[in-house]
Amino acid sequence: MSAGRCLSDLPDDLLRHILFFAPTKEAAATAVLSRRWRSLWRTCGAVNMDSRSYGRRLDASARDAFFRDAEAALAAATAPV
Amino acid sequence: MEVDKGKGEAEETRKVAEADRDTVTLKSSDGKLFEVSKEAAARLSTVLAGMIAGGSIDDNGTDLKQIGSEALENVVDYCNKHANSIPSAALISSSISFNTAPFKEPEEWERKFVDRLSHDALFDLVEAANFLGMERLLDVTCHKISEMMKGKSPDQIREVFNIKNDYTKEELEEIRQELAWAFYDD
Repeated sequence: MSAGRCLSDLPDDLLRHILFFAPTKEAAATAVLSRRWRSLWRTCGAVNMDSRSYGRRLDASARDAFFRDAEAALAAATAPV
Repeated sequence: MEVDKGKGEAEETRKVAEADRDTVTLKSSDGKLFEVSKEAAARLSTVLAGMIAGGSIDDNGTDLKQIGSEALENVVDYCNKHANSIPSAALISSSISFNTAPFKEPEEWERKFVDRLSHDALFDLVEAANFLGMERLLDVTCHKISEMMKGKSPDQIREVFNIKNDYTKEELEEIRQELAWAFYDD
């Protein structure tokens, strides 16, 4: 534990714990950060759908997008949520 | 014989004195000593609770070889602040398990506590909290890092957290297509 540490120094379990708190859309987007992050979000144990990621007012098309994404996220998550 | 007996008595006295103390002394990997409320340590850390109950607390400083002095100072600071704040009922019940109990948002003082930390100190504290089985501190620190990632593009996250992109262009495109729903309004 010395100076100049980076997030990737943390073990996978702790990175999953961080993603556990993130809105699912943002957690899934971390898959592109690096190879190590590719499937961490799938096993973080939570699917947090946040309507605020879909605009201030949930009109019909935003609502459709919300549910479509929720379905995609739940299908992609591999740990029980 | 006499000497041994005397030593035994001294040992006995020391143990009694230790049981009576309301603080425990913790020693960092670099040899610094910190005093922490015994009650708060036992309530907030499953590992320290076990050591206190099992009598493996050393009066001269219990060795925590995995934790540096800066992280241990933050752990102790957190415990002592916690001891002084009135814990809400919800907080006590949420300390059972983060998987079964809903996460309770950080309280104002917890927010301030993690906000003042550098990245390095924050990452060290995450590991220390994990090592000591401090569920609430682990939640609060990990929650803070997730907030730091919020609203940032992958490039910004890589920059802030010093993450090296080791994908090929083709791989990146493949993932973006696979997870199109996570990227469509970027």
